[in-house]
Amino acid sequence: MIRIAFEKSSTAIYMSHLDLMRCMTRALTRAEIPAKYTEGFNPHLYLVFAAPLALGITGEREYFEIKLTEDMAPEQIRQRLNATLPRGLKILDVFEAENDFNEIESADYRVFIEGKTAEDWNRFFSAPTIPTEKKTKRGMETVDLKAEIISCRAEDTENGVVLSLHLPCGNRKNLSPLLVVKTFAPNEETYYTAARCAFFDQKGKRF
Amino acid sequence: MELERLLLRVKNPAWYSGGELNSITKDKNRVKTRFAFCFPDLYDVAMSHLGIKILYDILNRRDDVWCERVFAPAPDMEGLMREKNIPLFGLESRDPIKDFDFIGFTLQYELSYTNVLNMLDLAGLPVLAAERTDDMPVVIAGGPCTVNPEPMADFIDLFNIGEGEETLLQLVDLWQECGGNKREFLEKADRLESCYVPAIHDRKVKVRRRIVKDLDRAPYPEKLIVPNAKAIHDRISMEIMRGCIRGCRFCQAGMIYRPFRQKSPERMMENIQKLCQSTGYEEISLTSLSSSDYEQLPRFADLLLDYCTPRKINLALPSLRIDNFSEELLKKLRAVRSSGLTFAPEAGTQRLRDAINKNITEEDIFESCRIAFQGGNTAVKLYFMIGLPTETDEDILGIADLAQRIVDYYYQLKTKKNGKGVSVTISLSTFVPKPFTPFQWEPQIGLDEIHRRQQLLKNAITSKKIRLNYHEGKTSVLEGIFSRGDRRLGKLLLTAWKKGCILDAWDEHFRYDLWMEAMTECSIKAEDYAGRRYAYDEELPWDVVDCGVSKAFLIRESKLAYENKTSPNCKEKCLGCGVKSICGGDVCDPNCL
Ligand code: SF4
Repeated sequence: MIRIAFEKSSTAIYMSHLDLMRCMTRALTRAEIPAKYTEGFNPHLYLVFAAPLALGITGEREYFEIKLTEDMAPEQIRQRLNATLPRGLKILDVFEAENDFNEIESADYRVFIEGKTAEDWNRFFSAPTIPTEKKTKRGMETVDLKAEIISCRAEDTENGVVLSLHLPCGNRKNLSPLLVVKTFAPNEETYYTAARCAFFDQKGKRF
Repeated sequence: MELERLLLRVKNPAWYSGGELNSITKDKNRVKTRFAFCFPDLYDVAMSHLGIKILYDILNRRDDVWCERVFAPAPDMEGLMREKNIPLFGLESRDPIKDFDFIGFTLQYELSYTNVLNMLDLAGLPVLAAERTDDMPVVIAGGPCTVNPEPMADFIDLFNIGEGEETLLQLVDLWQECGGNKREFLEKADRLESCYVPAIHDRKVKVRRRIVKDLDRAPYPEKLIVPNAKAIHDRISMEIMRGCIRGCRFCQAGMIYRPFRQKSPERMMENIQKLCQSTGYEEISLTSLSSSDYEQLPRFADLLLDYCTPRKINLALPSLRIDNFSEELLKKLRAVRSSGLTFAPEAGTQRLRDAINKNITEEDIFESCRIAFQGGNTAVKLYFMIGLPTETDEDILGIADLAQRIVDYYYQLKTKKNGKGVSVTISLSTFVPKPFTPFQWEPQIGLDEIHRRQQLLKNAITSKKIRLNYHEGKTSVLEGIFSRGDRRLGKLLLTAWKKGCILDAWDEHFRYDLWMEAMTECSIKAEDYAGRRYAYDEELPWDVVDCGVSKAFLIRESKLAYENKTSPNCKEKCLGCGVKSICGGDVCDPNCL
């Protein structure tokens, strides 16, 4: 299993997860990487992402995995892909995977919200519970944001607040930083940026 | 930048962000001419269109020209742009297009006309050509609708009629020669064969449609922009030929793209290899009006399959004709991917099929179905039209009858797969009379009559195996008004757009009520345009354009329709349609001319 670390920024953040999968598939084709296809009636490239990244969020170090049908040097894969990616996507490094994406438990995010202060956040976060509506497979459900957020820190900047959020991420439990933004600053005109910075396993080891 | 602050508030930010693979960025200080290529519809439709890709490539091959793409924003984005005073911008540079040299629109369908007005307005320019000053960009238009430029004449400075591959560059040259003097440019451009400047053109001088004689020598892109967000047709389009040898009497494309020209398999394979390498697309679609008329189809198909199969690339052949498609070819195609089969008999009875010169017999239809069914297909889609000239209720009932007999035929065939039922889908559209067709003088049926005929067909269908799809009909009426419209319709367009009519091709945005209001205010009636029989000897709004096909030929064909008589296709016998007046007479097979 070959793991590929990449960055998603600039105009590429407006790609949805599906768009990104399509884009990477085509990039692998263009770069002539000997990537393996799935079996079956409608074969497609074997391509697994660490965790979907919602449209609008920058990914500082995201991952996906492929299987190779013949050997190719990691550095060659990196260079070939980088030569054919659209603006905002960049391969950081390519290596043999040692662990499983299933082990991902949490992720770090950095969120900037314009026009808010650390004090605003602290007041918001000091409430005993912070109920909000979350879309799940079963429909809309009310969850307690406060209980879901693993940890957070707020810091003032010139024109807004920067939140460092540690949130559950993965198949078992997941919280989108966009839900945090929406609950904290519900005005739809609020300008924000969000980035996912790192993944961790249950022991807190960085991926 | 201001734009970034808005993108996360709209549904499809990737439609406005730019940055796609193979999009072209240049240093604006090092180009002489900036061109905004506008497709007046939403991104996912626009990015599916082949013509824009060809012209984008041709313009950008020149170092001194920078062509960018501009599309109609969806209402959510438009609202924010207006609120924040962000003028319409080129996707590549994000610079306002009001500072460009050219703003070029491609007019592919009448229902995009209000979007042109809206885009000019969003750019911060007056929509009326007469109100734009000399320092504002030249607004030009091309595309199939411009064979009748009159309804848009109030808004466009210059129409460039016909295939733009060569003429667009000539216009850029002329612009540079004139040193960007708009008035001088327009005066000189109006004297070019294919150009029409409505403000100054002498109607006695015919504007002649330009064609590219040799498709093999015409430039074809080596790279295509790969959208970040999915386009409706997200694949490689390979144009295999232009024009059509069939002369279906309702079909404008079959007339205004004459003469029939084919590309060689070698040249296309060269194009395809480059395009596959530069895009990584997983599907190739062959575009033409009637793919099975391509003479070297078997050989080309073999070459294609040899290339595509090991690379797992799908082939789509959207316009395979019912009467001569080869069983062999279908079998081969299925090796790559099977898709449902579509046929276009267009009319339900042989009598009407003869009248419209759709040279398909009932045997052809059943033979095609046999091939489809025996090849394992159980779904067939049939395209029909209502409101065709000479149509009677019997012809409409004939559609239901034909569909029913196809269902019955499926169950008679021994090949029927256990447990698998057949499904026949009828896709019904409404006839719209179009300029430069033998039916250009015909009236269109009114809205009530459209509804009555749709209902008649609906009631005649009893089997659950048959599905009927049709459009309500109001947009067809509007199309009928504009396709044969004259310059007075400029006022209607302006009024309707001011009332809020945009994106008329989209059901969820189409506002027939507002159109009706606008028509009343402008004292324009559908019956005077769509619903009127134009006379053979009357001066037609589009007489200023010479498309190649002569009026004498169109009248001959129109009269044959009333005798239910078919005409041979161009390969069987040349009908002397007149197109040699624009192509020189050496493009069609010399034996037939
Ligand atoms: S000149 Fe003859 S062969 Fe050529 S397009 Fe016209 S009718 Fe067909």
